[in-house]
Amino acid sequence: MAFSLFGGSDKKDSGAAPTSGNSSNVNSIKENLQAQILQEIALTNATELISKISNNCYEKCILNPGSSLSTADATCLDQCSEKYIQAWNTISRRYLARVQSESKN
Amino acid sequence: MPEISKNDISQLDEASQVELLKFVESENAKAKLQSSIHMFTDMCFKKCVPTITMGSTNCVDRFLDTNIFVVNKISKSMQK
Repeated sequence: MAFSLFGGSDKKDSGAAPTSGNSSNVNSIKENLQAQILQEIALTNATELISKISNNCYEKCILNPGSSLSTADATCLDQCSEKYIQAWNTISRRYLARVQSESKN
Repeated sequence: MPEISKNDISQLDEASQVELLKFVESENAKAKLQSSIHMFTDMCFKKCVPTITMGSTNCVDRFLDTNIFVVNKISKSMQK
């Protein structure tokens, strides 16, 4: 599953070299903050994805809610969530390409 | 992950503060894009799949089963 959603951020230095004396301490505080922010974003994203898949696949797969989750239900949920993630990846690529091409104009 | 105190933040020099501000701005922009992607995927998925009505007393239980199923699946794929 190719999936750039969960905290998979590329670390890019902005090129600003540290100049102050206790630069290693400052750097570690800065890096901790950045890591916490990325963690927070990844969690929000995962929560959002789970909620969307639950809603969509529940509607699609659980036609008549029985007393337990049947094998057929589970198979449908499995395929449905797989499909949803595929759609997410496709739309993500498509949308980002569109945003880039629009911003050139 | 260690907690960050107010004191830690006040120790940051100006260059680091500027860098952090830029970092937050850029992550914020990315988050907005991802939020749009969530919305579009939701919309397009609904559009491509015939809608199905539901209704039963087991509705909530099966919905929660669905939610737990998805949580398990996602956490498995996160571990990969």
